[in-house]
Amino acid sequence: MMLLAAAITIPLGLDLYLPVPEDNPLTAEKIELGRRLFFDRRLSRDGTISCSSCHDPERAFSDGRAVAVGVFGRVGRRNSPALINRGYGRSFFWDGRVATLEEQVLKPIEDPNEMDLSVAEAAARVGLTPEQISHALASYVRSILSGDSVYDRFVNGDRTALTAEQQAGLAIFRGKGNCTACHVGPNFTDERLHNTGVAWREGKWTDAGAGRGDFKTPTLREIARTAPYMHDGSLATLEEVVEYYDRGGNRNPGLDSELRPLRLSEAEKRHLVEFLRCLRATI
Amino acid sequence: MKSVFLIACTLALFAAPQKKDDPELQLQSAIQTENVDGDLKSAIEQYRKVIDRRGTSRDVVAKALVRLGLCYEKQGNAEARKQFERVVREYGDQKEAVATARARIAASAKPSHDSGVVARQIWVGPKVQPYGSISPDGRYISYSEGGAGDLAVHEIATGTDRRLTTTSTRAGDYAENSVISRDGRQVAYAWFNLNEGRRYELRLANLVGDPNPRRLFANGDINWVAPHDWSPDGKLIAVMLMRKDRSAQIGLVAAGDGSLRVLKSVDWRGATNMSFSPDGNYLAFDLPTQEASPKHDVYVLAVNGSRETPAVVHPSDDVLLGWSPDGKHLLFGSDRTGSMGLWAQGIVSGTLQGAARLVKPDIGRPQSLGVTASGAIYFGITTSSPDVQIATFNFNTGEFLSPPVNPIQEYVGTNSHPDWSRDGKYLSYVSRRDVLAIRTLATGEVRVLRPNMAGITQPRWALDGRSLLVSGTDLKGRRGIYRVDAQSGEVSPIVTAGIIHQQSRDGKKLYYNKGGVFVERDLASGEEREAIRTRVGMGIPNLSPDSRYAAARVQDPSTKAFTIMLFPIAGGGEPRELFRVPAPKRAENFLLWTPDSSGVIVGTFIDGKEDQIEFWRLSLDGAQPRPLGNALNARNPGGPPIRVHPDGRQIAFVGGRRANEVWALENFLPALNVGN
Repeated sequence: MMLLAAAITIPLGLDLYLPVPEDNPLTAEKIELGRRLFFDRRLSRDGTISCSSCHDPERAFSDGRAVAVGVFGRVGRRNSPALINRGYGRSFFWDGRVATLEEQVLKPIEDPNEMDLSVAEAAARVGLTPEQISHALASYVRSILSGDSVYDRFVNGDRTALTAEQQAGLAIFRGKGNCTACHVGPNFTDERLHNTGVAWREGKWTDAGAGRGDFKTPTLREIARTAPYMHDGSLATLEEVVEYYDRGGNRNPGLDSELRPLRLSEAEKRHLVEFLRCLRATI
Repeated sequence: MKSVFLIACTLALFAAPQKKDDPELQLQSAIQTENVDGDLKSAIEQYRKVIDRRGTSRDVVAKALVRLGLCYEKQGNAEARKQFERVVREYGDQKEAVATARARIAASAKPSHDSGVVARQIWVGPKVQPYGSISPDGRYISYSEGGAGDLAVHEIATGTDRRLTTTSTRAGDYAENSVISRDGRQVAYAWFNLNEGRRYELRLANLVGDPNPRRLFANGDINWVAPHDWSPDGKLIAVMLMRKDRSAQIGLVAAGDGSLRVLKSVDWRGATNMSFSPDGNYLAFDLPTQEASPKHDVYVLAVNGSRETPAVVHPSDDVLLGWSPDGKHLLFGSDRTGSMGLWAQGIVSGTLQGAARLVKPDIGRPQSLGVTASGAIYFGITTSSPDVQIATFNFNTGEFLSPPVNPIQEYVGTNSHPDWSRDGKYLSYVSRRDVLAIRTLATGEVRVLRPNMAGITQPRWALDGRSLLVSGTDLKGRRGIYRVDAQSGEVSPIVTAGIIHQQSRDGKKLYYNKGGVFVERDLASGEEREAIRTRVGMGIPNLSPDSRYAAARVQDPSTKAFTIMLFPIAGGGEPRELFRVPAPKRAENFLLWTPDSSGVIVGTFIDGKEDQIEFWRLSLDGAQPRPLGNALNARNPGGPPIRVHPDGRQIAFVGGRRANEVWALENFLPALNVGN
């Protein structure tokens, strides 16, 4: 573990270098302010919703719903992503439309289906400037880190940290399963957009994502705690996710070339799920 | 030399009647303009026309380039060196022109009191490897020996070499990147450990006294590791790692206990060089600018992970060379002026100071060996490289019926892995960085494909002539066998686990090596079977043209004796010994089948005398092995296999020798501080 600017601790398995903008250095004070804002319902129009409503720390900063529910019970169209290790992110939202955390954290406040408040009004309610809200929330999100799992201990040299089944699952993850084609690196994401066919139903897109059904690869850290899965929460369990990829996804004109039927045996599917479940730690 | 050159040209002038637009005649005219008229400007134009003219023979182009360089030299123009370097780089077969060019390059590298920067040739010869490091006192260069793969050090003053490891008792192990500690007492090096898990390890050896090579870091989750620099206090070693998921990481290994701290995860190709700042607070490194780009930019990362600075971000290729000893300048190579030069970027505490400045132009393509305490930068360059050659060959006598010639005149020194199309009309080859070129033999026209891959070897024409099967690496670092459309260059994977492929005569089956098994794969159904189970000491089996057999070199692990074994592929039967190599000779790994599949040609040699290969023709009918001399030695031993034209007479191969040199640039520090 390593202290970064005495503000946060980098757990085993994650890069020591956590990108932080020059104009928003990490400080303990800012992280604490961001934490309080994260749970502050005044940032929503009807005072019922905070960031934590959809990004619950008890659920690894996801919400357990298929799609997000905002003020006045308004239903969004996408699954609330887990806010895990987003400080290492290179683009944000399922369609990757935003480039920085500072910009991203303000969007849900303004979204009519989420918190439905102008940033200026939100700032007035909490007595801060929009920039202070942005910087504080971004700092807090940067501090949400998951590492030091049994997987991290295993790849750091403790060859007994994973069970035999989990090791078998890891081998499938990297080999026959072709999962590392997208879920790569310490954070299990290439931070890129892919068409896995999830949004292709009955010959058309239910959600075009970033264009032709492309959505950003999510991290797999804490995956066992962040069901349901995919950008629309359409798959309820990890077993369903593995089945989906085993059949090669929903075939469509722009399907990513990495997807093809895997022909995994039942035992291999079990092992793969066992491995995915081990990617959890204390956040 | 110059007069010999002129006489040769003049004799050629009278050798045969020539047309007025004959390139050689034009060359003579240009020489007259230069030497008789003294009009350098016009002569330069004339030489350029000769060089640019399509179809001009290689010897005339090489001569014209030399003359062009001499004209620029008279003008005091830095373009001179570029012409000479081009001759050395692209016209290695034109010995006289190359000799002249080399002499001029050496002369131009002498101390220039005007610039103050001194370029000094440090080390030349067959042992020179451009990957290694200079000791901080400038006395030693660490390197991996080209033959056995041992870690060695070269003492510059005496020219002597000393091994620090011994691979002779551990066949298959070898050293790669190495770096000498700042106190000059230890060398950290990458070691491929074939015998214990087929993995790379980070090891240490003493530079002084008993080398005592020892393991510092090994991890079952890491496929590859390469040390790049020691921290000034000797406590950390900066390494590049490749994980089993093919992600690359920049890490720090503690020299005391071998523990690893990952600083940053990066694109799987990683950095080509890393260097600690003299105060040890920062680590500089270069990274590819984009996924498929051959260009790099330079970054500086705080060793405590708190900050990263994009130090050199430019459309050109910028590669890290090191730091100035006072830590105020980052030194890098950049081709932003058209050729690679030494540049410096001011930097203080991770913050850039001013614009980058050119310190010395035209230093060649450098591979940094480091910066000494006195501020001299050492780097390796490759001055000549093997290239594709074709010849007519008699498989019964082992003699060339026509001498090898270089058919490719573009990007000479970068062309490799030739193959003939099945109708014999095309010659395909890999050129530059992962460009697939297809040459129409009748017209000389070259078509270029740029498959979306990061590495291509062994393009082999598929039966239908519409695609090529290649071994290679995709943009996610996955090695495998891919199909490349011969028109569009579109890539599709066939298998992403194997290497070194061959095809059956009917083109329906693919043979490749996968984890110690020679696999036969039906290309239509994807079904596979184990054709041969390989074993320790066995080379990759080589399929006969009729696909009935495979031959392989086998070394007995206990006696170290080499045999050539024949394995039935179709029709069953037991493997049998074709040839037992007389001790103490070794057999070359590559075996060449005769076009009619009646026999195999194998090269044998004594360790350390790889240039004295003796070839044997082995017959499948039981006839005695027959010596063939060493004419085939013209090819590049260890290079890609020889490919036989469908006519059974012409062969294509990679011939020639690679030559590396180590140079030092000295006395550039005063130039850096001017104006600071």
